[in-house]
Amino acid sequence: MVNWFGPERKSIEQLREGRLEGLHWIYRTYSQRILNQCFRILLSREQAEDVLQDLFLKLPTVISEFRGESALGTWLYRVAHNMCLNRLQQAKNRNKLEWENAETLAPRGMGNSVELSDLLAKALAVLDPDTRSLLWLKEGEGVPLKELMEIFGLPEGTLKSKLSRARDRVKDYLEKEAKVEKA
Amino acid sequence: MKKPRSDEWGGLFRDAERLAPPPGLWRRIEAQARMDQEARDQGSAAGAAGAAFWRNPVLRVAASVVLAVGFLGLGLLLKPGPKRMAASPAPAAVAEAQNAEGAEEMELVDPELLGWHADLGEIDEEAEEAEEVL
Repeated sequence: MVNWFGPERKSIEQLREGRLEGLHWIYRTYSQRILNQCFRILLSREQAEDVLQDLFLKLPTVISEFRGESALGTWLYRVAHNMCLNRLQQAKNRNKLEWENAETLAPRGMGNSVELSDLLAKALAVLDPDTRSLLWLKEGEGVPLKELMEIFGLPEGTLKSKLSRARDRVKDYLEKEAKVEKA
Repeated sequence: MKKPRSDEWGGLFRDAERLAPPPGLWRRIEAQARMDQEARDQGSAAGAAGAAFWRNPVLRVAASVVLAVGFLGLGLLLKPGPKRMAASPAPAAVAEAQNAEGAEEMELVDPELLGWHADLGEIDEEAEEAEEVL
């Protein structure tokens, strides 16, 4: 739920009145978290920044769809998640042949950079984008299960089993990596 | 090999690289959002002007009269009048006139020119025969 007495409510009202101060407050508060969520889904900094920019440009219009039933951050995560998946789908349609191996979904068709600079990025790349987003929000951002249910539109049981499978896959990958390093 | 312990697992996410939005991004968003806002304002101003026009009863009556006159004029133009029907020539007369025009067109074709075309065909045939003999 929106904190109706805090700056969040004020910024939403300002944004609905067409004042950019509201947009600036939301940007300052959420842009980094959204950027990192997008980066974990798209595996490209450049693409993640593009989505972030698109989202904030659309926000003055789409804020009318926000009814305050969930926290603004939860709603923003959901919008960002959908925008990233749409972008991946568009890239997939453009480069179908390059996307045959959907299991190891690295967005090769999306431009220059697949930034797999850290171990976690490599490990997350073995998951599909939807599950990457889920695992990142749970473990990286600490989003509670209740909010995850709202973001992904899934019941608790389904989310828990999806998270459990995702953790196992990432752990398996890390084990294999460790064995390769030792050898 | 043992699976990573829970603290290692937590550390993996905790210590992962966090990106920060580039410094110029907000300025780009702000500039574009301002332009979009102005475009929306202009659109709503035009809409408001239109609404104000229709709220004025005098202008509304005037516009209705102009529309009604326009439709009436259009209706009169499209309706086939009895005078125009009487003035149109009989079908037999029209057919006669068309036949006369056809005869004039036939005279325009020179019979000598047609004969010359036929000669040209014969010459071509002769030339082909000569080539075959060679």
